[in-house]
Amino acid sequence: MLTLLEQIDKGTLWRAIGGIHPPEQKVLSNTTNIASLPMADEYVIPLPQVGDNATLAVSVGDYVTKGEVLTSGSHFGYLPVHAPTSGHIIHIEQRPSNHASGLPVLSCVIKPDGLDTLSDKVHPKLALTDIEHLSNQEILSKIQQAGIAGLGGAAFPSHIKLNPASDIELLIINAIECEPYITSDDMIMREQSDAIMQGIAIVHRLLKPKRLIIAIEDNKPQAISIMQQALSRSVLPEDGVRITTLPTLYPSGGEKQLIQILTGQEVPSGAIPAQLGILVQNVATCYAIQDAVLRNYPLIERVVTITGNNVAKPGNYWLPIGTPISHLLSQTNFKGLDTDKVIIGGPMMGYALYNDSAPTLKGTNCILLPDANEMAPEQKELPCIRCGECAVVCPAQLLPQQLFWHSKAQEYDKAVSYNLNDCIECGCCSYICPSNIPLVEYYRIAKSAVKNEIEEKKQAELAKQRFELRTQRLEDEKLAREAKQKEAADRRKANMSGTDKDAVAQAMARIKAKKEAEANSEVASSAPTDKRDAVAAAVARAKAKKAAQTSPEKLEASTTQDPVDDKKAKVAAAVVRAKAKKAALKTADATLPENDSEATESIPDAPVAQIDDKKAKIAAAVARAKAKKAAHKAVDTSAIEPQSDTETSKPVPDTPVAEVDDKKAKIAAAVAKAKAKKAALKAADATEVQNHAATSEPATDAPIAEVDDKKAKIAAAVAKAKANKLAKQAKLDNGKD
Amino acid sequence: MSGILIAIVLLTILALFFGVLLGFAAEKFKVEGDPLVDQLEALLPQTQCGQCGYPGCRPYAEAIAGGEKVNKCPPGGTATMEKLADMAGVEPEPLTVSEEVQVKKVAYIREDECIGCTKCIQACPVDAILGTGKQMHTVITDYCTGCDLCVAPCPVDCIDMLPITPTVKNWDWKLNAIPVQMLEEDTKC
Repeated sequence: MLTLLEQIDKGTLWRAIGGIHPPEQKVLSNTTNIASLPMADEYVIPLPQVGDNATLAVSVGDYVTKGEVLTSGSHFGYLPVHAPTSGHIIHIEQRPSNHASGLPVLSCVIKPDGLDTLSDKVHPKLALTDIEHLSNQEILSKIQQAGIAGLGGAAFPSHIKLNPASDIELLIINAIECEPYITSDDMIMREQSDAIMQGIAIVHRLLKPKRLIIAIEDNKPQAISIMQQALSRSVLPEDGVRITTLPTLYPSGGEKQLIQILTGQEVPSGAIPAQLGILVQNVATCYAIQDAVLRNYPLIERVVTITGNNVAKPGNYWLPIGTPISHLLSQTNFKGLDTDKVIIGGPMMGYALYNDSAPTLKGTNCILLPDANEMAPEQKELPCIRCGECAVVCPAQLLPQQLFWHSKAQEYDKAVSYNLNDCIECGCCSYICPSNIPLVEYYRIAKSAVKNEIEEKKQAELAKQRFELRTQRLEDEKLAREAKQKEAADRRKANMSGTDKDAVAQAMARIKAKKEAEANSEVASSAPTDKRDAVAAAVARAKAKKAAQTSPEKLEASTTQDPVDDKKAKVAAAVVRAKAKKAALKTADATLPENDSEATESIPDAPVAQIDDKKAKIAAAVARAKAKKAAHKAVDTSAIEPQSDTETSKPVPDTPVAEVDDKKAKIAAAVAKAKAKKAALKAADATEVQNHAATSEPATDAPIAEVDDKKAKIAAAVAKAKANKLAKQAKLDNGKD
Repeated sequence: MSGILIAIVLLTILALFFGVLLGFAAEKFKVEGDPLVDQLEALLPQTQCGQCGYPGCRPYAEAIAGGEKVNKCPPGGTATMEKLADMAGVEPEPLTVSEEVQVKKVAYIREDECIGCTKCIQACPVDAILGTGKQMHTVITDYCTGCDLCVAPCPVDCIDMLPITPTVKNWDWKLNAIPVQMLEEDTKC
């Protein structure tokens, strides 16, 4: 079993997957030498990285020499852009781009002065031995400063590609050029083989691979033989370096396809060949590298194939990068109509240009100008018949019809699950499709949609992060503010001295005192409004005086009375005392309005509830009237309080009257009761003279107890209540008067 | 008789065993939070615009998980609504707003008219506006979600919502494929 490297040394080829054999039209352009075209009126150099990771180094009106750098930057992916000729910068503006969209991009427009003065940085060509002292880093820096990008079409910056993270075992120089019309690599190999070998030697030196393969398709026999000779002349080691001829098959020039054919290895999905220790470099790029390293000559021109039946002078041309396509068309005698297509790239993978004022780019290797016969007429897209031809020719081993279904249905996630991103857009499936389905177009749309979706996801994630950070920040700020406020409050408290504290305490006490005083004054102020209290107070004062004067007398009287009264009277006296006390408390508690309302309410209620007898009613009415009168009297006579004392003694003689069954007795009883109550109230007010009231009451109760007539009792009770209330009212009225 | 007993005993044992197993699994493989909310939130465009009536995308995702309608996200458009409906297991409904709102936009401050009041800065949910008091403000376009929230607070009406212009980088590829025609058969293949 041979190792991989031994097999490579033997020139073993592995089976290519898929692929087609489209009709070849290379002879159109590879029969003449590489020519040059007259200078254009202006050159349009797109500045793709400006605003991204590069800045403009020139401004409008500046004079630039050929090869002078137009941008500056320090980003590792920065790729300088150079002036393709000497002249003045007349515009820096948005110009239509050489892109399938034709959207304008920022471009620098140079009006050539016709002298083509070379930048003084470009020096005569050195030999490879002269650069031996340079480090790899210096060489890479030269490559970067020359702005070299992959010339195969993808235009990936070479200084990044040539500085891989892993060791490279196999270096492949890609000179396949499988597109059916393109011959630029073929021609540059024929004419610049030695320079290319120098370029390959520089790359070889940078990467130090174990093996080097220059892969050329067998449809370029001249180039193969010239390269063989150049290789034998070159400084490249004989061991491990070989030119391998591949059978013509489209798209064996694809990076992954070429690796598959040369090594049998498959580059994993999403990986780059460097991970397998393989690096593929385009042959024209090697020429540009040689120019950059040995001459300091930047990438400002390249070989472009201008071909197709619509052009009178098809062939390969050294074109300054930035040459407007319209200039090329006029210089090569474009004979087509305005509506005829201008295709950038080959027929398989190229795209039609919308605006021919767009310039050529570093990756522009072919401009195809086909006439109507060359291009298939627009054919109607027919339904997919599931023939499976596309799957047979797919070099990436995908299932084009599945991708097509999902792309058409815009089920992009499902298309991605069928490895949409591994599609190299080679166009084999579209070419082979019997239903004329433009499959690649669907894939391109799907791919850009997927790309945008991923971009949006990223944006959404970023927005979410920023939103969360902001929310967190606002929350933190709020907490910090609260903490600060609290701290400040604490500090204020702590800073307060002892006297301050006392002062506060004093102030609080003052406030309290004031409040209390106010409350008192309210009571006081409310008291005068009802004169009753005032009167009562006056009465009390008077009583007190009187009591003081007559107390010895009274005491005597009471003692003399007691033995006279029987037991009942004593008990009654005790009860009355208790009642008087209670009444006193009640009057003290009860506020005036309540009494009012009670009085008014109880008057209608009591009779209805308890009295059904007319007589009783009348009695009650009479009692009320009397009570009123009595109350009036009482109030009137309140000034001469001693009289009340004498009145209270009246009930004692009344007792026989109470025993009488007639109305008068009842009324009398009621009156007596009312009077007694009144007295009691008064007594309550004047606490000093309570004893007098107590002593006087027993007599009032006694008659009631003795009344055996129900009606009388009820009437009495009602009368009592009424009298009680009326007395109060009377007092109030009196007070008001 | 013994057959029935055996069956009962056996089933009881099995029931107990599976009961324990389920109880253990419920503890061991417990899912913290509602995974549906996270999935729904991942579908939302994260503009944090509040046009759904919720303060941000996550609250709306939580609301959808709780039964809210899926058609309240104008920035997401119909595509997002369909995905949300699919995820939440409900019928898709037409959006509550017109299609016109769905064009992606970014805020742009006419800088010579800006008076530097900072009101838009406070309104921006993603901190995409730069500026300070009495100084001109500007929008960091890359961070702007086009939520519109800064337009209303501006006292001088100097904020425009501009649709994002397509560039070469974000252009949606709609190229007509180049048809290839078989030519003469004598060409070498």
